[in-house]
Amino acid sequence: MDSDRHLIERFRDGDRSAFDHLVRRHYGRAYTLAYRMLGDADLAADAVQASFIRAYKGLASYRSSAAFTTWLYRIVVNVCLDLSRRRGRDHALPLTTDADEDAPAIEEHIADDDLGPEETLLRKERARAVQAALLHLPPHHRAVLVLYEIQGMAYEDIARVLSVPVGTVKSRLNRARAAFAASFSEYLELFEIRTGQTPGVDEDAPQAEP
Amino acid sequence: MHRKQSHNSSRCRWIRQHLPALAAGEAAPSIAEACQAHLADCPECRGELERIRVALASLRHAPQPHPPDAAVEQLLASLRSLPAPVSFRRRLRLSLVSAGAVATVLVGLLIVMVVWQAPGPLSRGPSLPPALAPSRHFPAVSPEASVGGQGEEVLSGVPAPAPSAPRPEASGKSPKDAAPEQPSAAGGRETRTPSTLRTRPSGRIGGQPSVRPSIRPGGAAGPGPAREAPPEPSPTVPSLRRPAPAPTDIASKPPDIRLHEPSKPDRPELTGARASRPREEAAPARAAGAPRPRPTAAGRSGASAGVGAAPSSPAMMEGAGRSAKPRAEREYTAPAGPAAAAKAAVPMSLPRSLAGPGQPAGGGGEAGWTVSDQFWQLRVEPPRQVVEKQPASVGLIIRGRAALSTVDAWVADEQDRPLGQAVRIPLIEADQQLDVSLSVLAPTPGVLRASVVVRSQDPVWTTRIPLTLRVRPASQQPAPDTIAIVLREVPLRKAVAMIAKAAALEVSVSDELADLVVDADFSEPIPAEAALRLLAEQVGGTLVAGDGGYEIVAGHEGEDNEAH
Repeated sequence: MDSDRHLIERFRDGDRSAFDHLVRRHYGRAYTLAYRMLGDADLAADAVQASFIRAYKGLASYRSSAAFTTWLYRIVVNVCLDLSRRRGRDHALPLTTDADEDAPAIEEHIADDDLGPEETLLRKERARAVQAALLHLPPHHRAVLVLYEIQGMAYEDIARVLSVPVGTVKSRLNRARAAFAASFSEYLELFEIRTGQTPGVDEDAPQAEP
Repeated sequence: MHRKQSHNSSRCRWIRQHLPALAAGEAAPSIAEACQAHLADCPECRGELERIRVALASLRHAPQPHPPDAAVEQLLASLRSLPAPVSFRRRLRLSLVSAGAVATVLVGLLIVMVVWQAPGPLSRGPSLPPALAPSRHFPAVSPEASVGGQGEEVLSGVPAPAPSAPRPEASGKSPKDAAPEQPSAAGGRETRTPSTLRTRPSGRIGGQPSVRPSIRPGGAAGPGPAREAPPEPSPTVPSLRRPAPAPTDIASKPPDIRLHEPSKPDRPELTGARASRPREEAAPARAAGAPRPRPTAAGRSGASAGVGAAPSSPAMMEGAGRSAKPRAEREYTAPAGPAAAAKAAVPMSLPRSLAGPGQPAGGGGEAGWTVSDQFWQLRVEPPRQVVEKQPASVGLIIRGRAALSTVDAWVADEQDRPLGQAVRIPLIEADQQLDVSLSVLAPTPGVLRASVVVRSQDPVWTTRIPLTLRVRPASQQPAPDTIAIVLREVPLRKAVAMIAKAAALEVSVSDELADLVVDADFSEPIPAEAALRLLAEQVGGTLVAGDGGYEIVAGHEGEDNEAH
């Protein structure tokens, strides 16, 4: 299969189908990034679409020193941050709105697995707590956490994606992890209560509120 | 963070800051070792570590979201509907040929932006121009969306930030020169005191506040009344010995940073009662302050409609279509005092509220200053007096107007050298108020012109508040509250001189009393004034407070200070 670089060269030479390959290759990861950033399936699809269109238009001037994904994620993150800002505080109540509506995006996937109903439920809760806790983070911290923990990028690449020094990436990551963990356990408890689960049903469950 | 109260020891606090890395398996070996030793004894920290581990594992193994079925095909279809992108070479030529045209457009844009910015953040409110024409939830990027926009993409290679008004100079430059990292001098537009309206293009930050989407399951999270952070403990001796970094260095990096944990903005409680209430509750708190930028539309459906409806004037619409909302790092220096402010021209691209100087608050000479802009309201309370080479603290109250993350604050001198440690606040939520104490260390006596620098990384924004500090030589110690001295048959003159010296007071003794002998045992610390009064009584005189000092005079003239 052609490398990204090769595809980009072909695209520059006028082969528009080369870009289609790039889209198919990177759509999934870009979507994951956008979904984690925004917590909304449709919004994420929109963001990815906008990002690819920007990439399409900008690819001619793309400097190939960095990996294509670095550049693409940078666009995605920027689009998402932009959207987050625009949505602002008036919107983004994933707990009561988005998370419930958009849950199928993830939950169907979970249900595919060969699990008992309880385990499925637990996993659903966890998946929702993950997203809710992510959305609770400030967008820039969320971006670092998602790029590092989910996309598995290196500090240096994240620094390039976000245009910040590596040290900033590390410190944000540290804070983001702590804040995420705090939110996550609280959401998990909350969801357990809502779904009638007993808190502390397994060793992972956090202690009850003091 | 409901377990905050359990951070009972400083050890725990130290350990906890390393727990995230430890949980991720990325802590340095030495730190990991130190943590393990503590964790063996501390069930609370163990629990915390476990919590983080579980959370991170859940995050890493979270199921992949599935994109909507037709999403990829839809995207491919819309790509096919776009015109073929111009090849790089042709485009370069094109951009050279049309450089003049682009420049014209950008200048036009600048004018639009200036006009648009002038009314200040309040009037701007929700009608921030969207970067591009809106589609469903976000701007559609169609090739004909912009002359400037397209030019920008050619220029930067990274299509994220559109050129904004504050950097018109980008237009005339070649593609490479205009790369987003390039700082640009805002050519002679500013006339403010010690530097700086610097606008630096930044790849990721808008001049617009980043309002952080926050979920607030508990109503209590509402900003409501300002949350007071516990005042920062008195600063440790700052690092003045360090060679001062170059100004540019400072611009990007504050001095040694102490972490100032704001009163945890996290949801204080996570009860079942989740609501959007906090938002409304925020209103009264805000009303007291100056205008704040408001986020756009409400509700998801509202989001798209709001964006579409937002720009209310054709000029703004145009500006929006061309691309830009301000994306630049800005720095603002509040003029030093009302007089300077009167003289200082208002930088065009700053919202009007920024142009206002700090309002002298109390009225006294040592009154604090308040500076407002769209991101925060800052109030600085300089110390009454600073003693040479002794840390003093400057009070700083930050009231966020938008969510701000990674805010550093420190005191710098005129050359921008840090005069004390920076305090780092990881996050300030909108309407959150924080009291911070900044250390300042004056190297030499005299008048020290300094400024409090407050900078946030997200959004990128720096505000400087100049302040003038009077520095006393270290020998002139401030008066201690109490003295402890034993006097055995000492002439009053001498006794008073000793106390006056110890307490740094001016005390004179009338001649007729000066040689009378006093005997006093102040081995228990006693306020100097009280000691003097007692001594005066011994000799049948009175302590009189005059301007700038005291006098011990014979008799009981004036007020009888409950002495007899």
